[in-house]
Amino acid sequence: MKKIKQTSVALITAISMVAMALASCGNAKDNAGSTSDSSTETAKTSAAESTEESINDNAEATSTSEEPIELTWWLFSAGAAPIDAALVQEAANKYSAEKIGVTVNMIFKEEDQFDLSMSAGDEYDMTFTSDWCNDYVSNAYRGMFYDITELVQEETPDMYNKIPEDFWKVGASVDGRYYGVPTDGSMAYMMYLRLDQERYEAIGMELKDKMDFAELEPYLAAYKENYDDVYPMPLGKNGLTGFTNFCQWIAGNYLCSPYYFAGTDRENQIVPFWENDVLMDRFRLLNKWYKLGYINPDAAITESIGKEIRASVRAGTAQPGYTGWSAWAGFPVFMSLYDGPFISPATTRGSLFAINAACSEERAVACLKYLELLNMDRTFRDILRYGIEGVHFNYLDDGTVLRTEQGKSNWSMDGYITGSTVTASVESISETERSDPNPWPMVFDAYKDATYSTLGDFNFDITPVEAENAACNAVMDKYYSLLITGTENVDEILPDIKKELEAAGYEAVLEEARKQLAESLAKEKAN
Amino acid sequence: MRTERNRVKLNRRWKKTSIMTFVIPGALWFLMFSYIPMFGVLMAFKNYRYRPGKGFVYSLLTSSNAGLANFRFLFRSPDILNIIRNTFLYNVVFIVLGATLPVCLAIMLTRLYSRILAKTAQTVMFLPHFLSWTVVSYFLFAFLSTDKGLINRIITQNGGEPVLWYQREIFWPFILVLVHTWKIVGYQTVIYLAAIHGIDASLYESARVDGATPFKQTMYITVPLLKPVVGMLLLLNTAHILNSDFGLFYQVTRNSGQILSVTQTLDVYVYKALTESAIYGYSTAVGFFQNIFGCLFLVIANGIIKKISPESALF
Repeated sequence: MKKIKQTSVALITAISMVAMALASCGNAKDNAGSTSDSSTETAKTSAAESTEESINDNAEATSTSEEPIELTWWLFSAGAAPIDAALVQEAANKYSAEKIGVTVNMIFKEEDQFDLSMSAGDEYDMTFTSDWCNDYVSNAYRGMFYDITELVQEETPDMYNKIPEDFWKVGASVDGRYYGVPTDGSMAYMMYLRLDQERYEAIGMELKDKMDFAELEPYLAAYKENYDDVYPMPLGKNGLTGFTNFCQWIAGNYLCSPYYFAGTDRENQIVPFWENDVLMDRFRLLNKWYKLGYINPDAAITESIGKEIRASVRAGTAQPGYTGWSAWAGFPVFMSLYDGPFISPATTRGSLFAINAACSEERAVACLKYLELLNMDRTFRDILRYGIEGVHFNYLDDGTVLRTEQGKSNWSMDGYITGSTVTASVESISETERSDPNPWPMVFDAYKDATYSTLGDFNFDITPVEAENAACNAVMDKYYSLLITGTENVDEILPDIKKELEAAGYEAVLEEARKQLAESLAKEKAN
Repeated sequence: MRTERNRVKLNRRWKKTSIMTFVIPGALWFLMFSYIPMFGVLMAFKNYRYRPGKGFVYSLLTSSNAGLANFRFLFRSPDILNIIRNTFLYNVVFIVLGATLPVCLAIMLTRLYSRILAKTAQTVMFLPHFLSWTVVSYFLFAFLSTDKGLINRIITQNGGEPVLWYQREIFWPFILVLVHTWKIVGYQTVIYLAAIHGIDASLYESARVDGATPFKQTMYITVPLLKPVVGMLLLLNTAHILNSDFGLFYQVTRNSGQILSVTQTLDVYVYKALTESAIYGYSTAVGFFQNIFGCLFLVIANGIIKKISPESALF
């Protein structure tokens, strides 16, 4: 009797496990099948009656119907999703459902997850894309994104007209077609040194609004002399943030076209990094500083320098009037411009929102309507930017925003992640330290001196040489940290780098890049 | 009488089948996670491009054929021979150490008279197994950091020059072997301990009666009876001769550029070459290459072992 019981228990467990496994498989398959079927069907029907009237009917029907359209929206996140994501999403959905009958399901992804999710075909309606994460141009070339060139102008003319034309023509355009909605914000790269104002003032050193990178040396020396608790310029393996942004990087860290080529006889040229004299001089300078002990000896193998380490200088990309760094560091930080402003397709592609090419037109329109609301409606934009009023932030009398403690810890992300920075209200540091409620005229004023890229809207399609590029990237991974942290003397290791890059086939990549650039420039001239 | 015998027979068969049912979940697991995904090896021979809305399988099947082009990526690297050498040699060292050191330790542990001491030693040895490589990497950095590391502090306190550990390749083969052994040896020891405890105690008793010393007992009872287990684990490890522990070679070395010539293995190289551009065809091709080579090696090693001691061979 006992034995029978035992065996039957074993059998039942085994059978139920099998059943569960099969059931879960079956469900997944069914789901995938049904959704893809329905999306193709709707695509067919909307294609069949693609007259303007029927589209308008559809749009009206969706906005008046009881059930709002729910969109899956992939957003970038530097780490784990913000803690209060569900709360904010609920508040935002309530608002957008009332206004346009569209809600979203926000899914936060880290940089690496985008590539995998895109290749595996995970389902989404709207996604974050940019020049540096979930690459906009290559995805557009592969046909992953919905071509919204006509749709955005017909369906959401208000948004189309509000976002400055440069963002569309320089940023969103891939061979003259638009595959994403750019976010309206800073358009140029401006690279700042973030100097320790408090300590430099204490030792009586004057700080300048604008300085050359080499002028930093006396500051580092003085800091080392007066404060021996830290290295003046602690670096992680990626070096100073934005340090090489004075060049357009065409392939990995080895092929570039510096902005200072503009107006010289090397205009429109792509060169390997060792023919970029400014960069080489900076590498030499860093090596000198490394030997002088201004840089931490283990910089090349240090992941990053956290904010618990006080540094005389850090660097970053921002715009005039930016106040975030002082708040982050916990002491006054002085911003000194050392590179820029530069404008190129890459600088205007800091953040875009693209629509899945597999979406039906109805859903694509819903995405655009949602983005339009985000670009036009400040109240709605502030919900996504700062959270729920009274919980995550409060408005001050001058219209700026002050985050609460909960807002700072549970819903704190960079502005570009959820949309345009121009539409959102400006954040103040505290009740007393107010920010300019409208800094944008000042920012656009600074752009008057901008250097423009001379490569036009050239986009390098790397597919024909991707094996060579991968091999070159592996070579550069070996040496780049050593150069960018000053650990090694560039003149000593350059022969090795060149030899290895040659073996890896950088010349083929360079040739292909130059060929494509010539074609692109010729095409532009013809237009 | 006959029906009685039949019932016994039936009972036995039923007993067998009921035990066999325990295999079902495991078999299903292998089917779902090891056999079905095998068709993905197709990716190594395709220029995989996802087609929006068409699903993974359709996209894979309709992607254009790449022939062997994806494999060529690996041999574009100027360091490839060096990389394969590193992967191979480190594995050989690990396999040899893995087949000797834990066996010795396991025998020593069983020879300890104090049960408490034996259990403590076993636990202490086993603990590193639970640490992730990232944590180990920081432990090691605390010892070897150029300015704040324990070892360099001791050196400079005594008036010496600090050693740039992460920039001198000469140290790293030893450091890596040491760290790997430290982390893995406790786990392997437990496997052999279990095997030793499985040996019939009466063998030792009769040996003792015949006046065999503990050393002789070990040499003539424990070691011969452990041989099949050692041989089998050795064989299983040879299947991974071109695979490497990414955490050990990437995290523990902190990906330092100056020591790559002795620390870069295949998995690390693939990671570094493909982080910028996610080309899954290339990484699949490398994985396929590693496994084909491993399989080949396994068959050869099995052949050799079959000649030497047939009872340890896998097939």
